Amino acid sequence: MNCEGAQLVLSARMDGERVGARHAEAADAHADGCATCQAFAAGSAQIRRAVRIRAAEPVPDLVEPIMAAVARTRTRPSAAPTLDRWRVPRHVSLPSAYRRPRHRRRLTLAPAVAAAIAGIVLGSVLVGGPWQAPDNGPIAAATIVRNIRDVAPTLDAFQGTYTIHEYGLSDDVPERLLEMDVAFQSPQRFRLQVRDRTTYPSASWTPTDLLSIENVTAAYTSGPSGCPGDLPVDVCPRTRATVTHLSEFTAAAPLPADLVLPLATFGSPTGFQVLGEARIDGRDAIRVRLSFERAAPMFPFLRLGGTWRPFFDRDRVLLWLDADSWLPLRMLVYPSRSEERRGWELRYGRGVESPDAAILDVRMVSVSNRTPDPSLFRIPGTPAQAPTQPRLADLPDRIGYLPATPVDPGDLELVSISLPSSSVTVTPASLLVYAEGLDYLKVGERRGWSGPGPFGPVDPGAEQVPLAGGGVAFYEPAGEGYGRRLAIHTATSDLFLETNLPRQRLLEIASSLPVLGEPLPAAWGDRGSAGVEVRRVGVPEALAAAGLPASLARRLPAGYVVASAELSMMGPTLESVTFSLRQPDTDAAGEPLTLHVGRGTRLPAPSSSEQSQVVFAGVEGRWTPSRSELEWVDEGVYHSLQGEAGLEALIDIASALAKIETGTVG
Amino acid sequence: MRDPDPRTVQRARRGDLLAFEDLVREFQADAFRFAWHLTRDRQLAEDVTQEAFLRAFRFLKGFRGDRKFGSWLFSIVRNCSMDALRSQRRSDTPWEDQFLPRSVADPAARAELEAALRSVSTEHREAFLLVEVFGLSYQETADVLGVAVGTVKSRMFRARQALCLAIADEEEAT
Repeated sequence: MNCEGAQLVLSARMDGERVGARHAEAADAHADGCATCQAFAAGSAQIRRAVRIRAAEPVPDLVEPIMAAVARTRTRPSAAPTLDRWRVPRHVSLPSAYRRPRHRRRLTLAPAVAAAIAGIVLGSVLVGGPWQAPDNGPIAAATIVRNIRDVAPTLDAFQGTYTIHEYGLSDDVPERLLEMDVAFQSPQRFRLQVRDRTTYPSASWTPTDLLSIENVTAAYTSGPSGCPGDLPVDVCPRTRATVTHLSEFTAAAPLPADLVLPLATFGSPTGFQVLGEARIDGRDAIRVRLSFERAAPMFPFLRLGGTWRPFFDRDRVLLWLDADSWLPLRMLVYPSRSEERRGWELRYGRGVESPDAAILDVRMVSVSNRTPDPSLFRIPGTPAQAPTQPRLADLPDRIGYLPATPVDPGDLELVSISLPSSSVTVTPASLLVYAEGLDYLKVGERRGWSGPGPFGPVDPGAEQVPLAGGGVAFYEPAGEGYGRRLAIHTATSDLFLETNLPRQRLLEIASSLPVLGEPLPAAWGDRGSAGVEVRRVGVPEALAAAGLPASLARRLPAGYVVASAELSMMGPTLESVTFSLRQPDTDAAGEPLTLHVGRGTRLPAPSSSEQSQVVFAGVEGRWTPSRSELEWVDEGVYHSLQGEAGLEALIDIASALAKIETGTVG
Repeated sequence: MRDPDPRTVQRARRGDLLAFEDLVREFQADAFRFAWHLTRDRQLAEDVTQEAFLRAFRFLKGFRGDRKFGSWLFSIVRNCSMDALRSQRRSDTPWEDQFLPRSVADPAARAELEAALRSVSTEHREAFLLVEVFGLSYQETADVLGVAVGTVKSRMFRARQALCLAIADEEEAT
């Protein structure tokens, strides 16, 4: 081989391209004794270093101008939807198979559920209905939350069928009809199946047929693969199926648990409005209004794949809850009336949607508490017979330790022990599942976790909470497909707990584990780049550094608390402080808010044409809807508050901060 | 280069603007950088990036998934860049200073690399940028440039050879 040939091989190999073994050997043999080729290899490596070791070039944010331009191309008069289209809801003609008379079984309650609510019914005789306070006002929000919570451990089986009407997917498909079946059996077995009954205008549309099964520790999801329907199935399969294991900590498919009982949605008594009683399908119901974001756990099918129309976070959801069983009977989604909704429509070129016409209608058709057929929960491709579970006492021999078990699990029973075989260090070596009715608790454990963050799917910015009896843990509210979570770091092992029980109950159970939680090692919390060191610190220290009173930690409006904080230091100089604001008890509140406090005498140059000035508490600020960011400068300090809570909520918090800083409120 | 979720592409193909925005968000920085490297002009690169996404949206229905979305988009960016340069007759203008990494630690090394890249032909430079700066595979680079994989292989080798020589000359001269 000559120099030319050898350098061609060396060059391709540098780029990770496959080179035949014979060629590679010949090139190496040549280069070993060739100064020119050695210089080529060394020079190429030097060039690579020079090109790659550099800060990224400044890149403008072009998302908004691009989307505005794209939207303009879409809203030409011929393509614009007419207003009439949104005026519905119209009757959708059903395929004949769907029209057969269905046997409507009146809801009957399991004895335990009946017992659980007997007291409420008795009370209702005295005060005029379980949802009626003596002054004839609607039932207290807290009562709904408590009653739903009380029913959860008593629900052992459930089967429900629903219709889903969706309006406004696209100009070609203005309305769709889908059928949904939901089944549940304790412990922790769920099935959700959606069958798309829509007649599409062409074969290139793939129907949104979905199937999701969770069987204790394994989950199966199948949905459209994204292949256009006019390609042959052997070229591009119509559906794609995945099996995940709980222990892999993948964001598993969302469970349909809130369709059975809206436990996550009503995890706290704030953020929804009780409208009063109503009759629906011959049943007594309570009508509740809440935002689409808050009600998200009740729409698990939207996140399973397929094609769905978009929804604005603050669209309004009207929900009918059965007054006896607390099952959701019907959910209607209407566009929000807010100005922000109009901006959102404009950005996505969706045309104006009337706030008075429903865009989604999910309605229960039948329900039963009969035990579903066990085959419904079988994960395709797995043996019908579940493998024998190991015994706790045998675990030290198999994995080298006895997993920590709570001394006080309450009514929860240990229903599954699994030993994930994955060698990946983020996976627990042991996983215990406890359950009672719809309630569950999962406890994963691993030795030798080396960080840098808390073990399991718990954010590095999670709130550090004390456990009774000493020690600390890291708490995260429900979200991203998980329940409420807690990570515990100890001298010998790391634990991860996840549950749909209330925060307080989770902390009690965690306190009964025979372990002592320690703060995360200091080295795990430090990161940074380009001369800036980012360090996680305690909330009181960060508040002091930002010149904010310690009382702020638990005194923000809308129930927010300061969950965690980071300092950014450049050498010995404090550059900025970043706080993560969360709602500890309102688990369906969405993403945490980020408050950034830094040095600065004026706002950065405008970056978006959609930015607008807002004035609050005597301060002038700037609102950027596409980033959901409110910025203001107050007495030489730059503030940015970012998160999907809506401008009104952000202004409430910003006003409270501005008042505290100017000393209006101490 | 990472590939987007095919479902997002599929939804965008059907005109779902939310899905298309996801794609814009994911690829706009790379698209802009590539346009900048090709046009060496920030303003022009911004215009090219916008135009490229508009064309992508218009032609998405024709995107069949037989190559990666990123490669397909880059080939559009490249076409738009060429169109923009042609209309401005700027294809022979010198490199802007900011083309090259401002923070290559050693200023001398930076100047050397800058000078070296100037000496490489356009077609070699394109291949070099796609592979070294954007991390594309030879197949992806071939898709963007509309050439065979073997051509990319030889262009990479030629680009490296030319750069090594140019740097050696610079070092000798100093």
